[in-house]
Amino acid sequence: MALALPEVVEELLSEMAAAVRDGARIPDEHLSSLKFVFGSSAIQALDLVDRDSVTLISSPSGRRVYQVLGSSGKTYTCLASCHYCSCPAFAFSVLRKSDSLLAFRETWVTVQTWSSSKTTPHTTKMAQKWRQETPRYKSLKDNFISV
Amino acid sequence: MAEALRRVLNEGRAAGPGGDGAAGPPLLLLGAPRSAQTSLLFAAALEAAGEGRGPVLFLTRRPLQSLPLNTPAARNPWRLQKVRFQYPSSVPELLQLLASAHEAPGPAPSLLLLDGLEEYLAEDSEVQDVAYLAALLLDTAAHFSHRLGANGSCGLVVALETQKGADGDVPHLTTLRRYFPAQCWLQPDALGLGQHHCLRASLESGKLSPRMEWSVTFLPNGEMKVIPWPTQASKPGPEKKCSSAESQSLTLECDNLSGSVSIG
Repeated sequence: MALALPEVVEELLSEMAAAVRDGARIPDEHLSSLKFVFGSSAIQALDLVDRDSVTLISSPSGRRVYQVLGSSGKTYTCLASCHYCSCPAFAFSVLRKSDSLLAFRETWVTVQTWSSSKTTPHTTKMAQKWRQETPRYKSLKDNFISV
Repeated sequence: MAEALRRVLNEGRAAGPGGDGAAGPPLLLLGAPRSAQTSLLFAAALEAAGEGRGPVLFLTRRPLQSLPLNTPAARNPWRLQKVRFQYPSSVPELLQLLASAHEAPGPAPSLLLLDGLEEYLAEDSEVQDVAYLAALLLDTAAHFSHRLGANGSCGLVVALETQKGADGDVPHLTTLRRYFPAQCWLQPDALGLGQHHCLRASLESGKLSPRMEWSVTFLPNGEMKVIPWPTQASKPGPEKKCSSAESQSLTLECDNLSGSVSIG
C-alpha cells in the first residue's frame, strides 16, 4: 500500500540492512549511493541517527509511527507506511517545490526502517569520505557540517 | 485501485491481479458534481462486502438519507450489515477517526471508502494539511491490511468532486496524486442518447498500466449499464445486447442524479 521507492533504492537499503544485521559496518559505497540518491537529505538523516533523535512509537495493535526530534527541540511525526512528515521542510521542499525526493527526516525514517541498529558515526564517516572525493565539499561544509 | 470498484466497472469479473484479495493501489475517484460518485462508491462497498474478507468502512460527511442504490445486492441485509457508515462532520473529527482506527474493536475492514473529500478540503486549504489527510488515509488502510494479513489487503477509494479554480486546475490535485497513484475520472459522455445520462469512466492505475475505460449509462427506469468503452468512434447503444457475463445491471433510482434519493 505504501508509495514505493524506486527499486534501486529498495535494493540499496536492503543491502545496508543486511550489513547491519550481520554486525558489519555499512560499506562506504552504500553511504555514497545514499547521498547520490537522496542528495543533501542523506547526511542530515544520518546525523539524526547519530544523535538518537528518532523514536519508533508502536501501539499494541501493531500500528507504528516515527517521532523525530528536530534541532530546534520540536518533535515531528513521520508516517511509516507512506511519505509524510509534519516538518516545514517536507511541506516546502517536497510538497511545494518537489525539489527533493524525500525530506531529510523522511530519509532517516527510510534508513531506520531498513536498519536494525546503527554502528559508526555515519555523519563523520561520510564527511571524511566526501572531503577527500567531492569537489563540492566546501558547499557541504558550509551548509550542513561544521567541521 | 480498490479492486472492488474495478469489478463493479468490469462487469463482475475479477480484473488483473486483484483476484487473490490484493486491493491494488489507492484510488482517487474524480468527477464533476452529479457524476454518480456516491453510487459507485456504494456499489464498490457492496461488492467488497460480498467477498467475506471483512467489513467495509464508508466515511462521508453527511449521513445518507437513503441508500444510493436499489439493487439486489443493496437489498441484501447480510451485505448491508457489513457496510459500516460513519459520518465525521469536520476535518479534526475525520483525522481523529483515522488516527485512532487501530483502537476500534472488531475485525479490520477490507475496504475503506471516503466520499466527498472536497467538503473536508474546503476546511483546510494548506498543502501540508491536504497531504496529512491523504497520508493518514493511506496509513489507516495500511494498518488494516496489516491486520488482515493472509486475508488480503485493505483497499482505499476516495471520491473527490472536482471544481476547477480560476487557473483551470483542480485544487490540491497535484498533492493528492502523490498519494493516490490510481485515478478514475467520471466525465459526462457527450454522445449520450436522448434522456440517458451517460458517463465515461476512465481508470488510470499507474504509469505502467494501460488506461481502462467504460461507458456508464443511467437509463430512465433507473437501471445502470456498465460496458467497456467502445474502441470505434461509435456511440455506446443502450439497445446493444449484453450477456450477463459482459454487463452488470444496477438498478438505480434516477432521482439520485438530481439530488434527491429514494429507495425503490
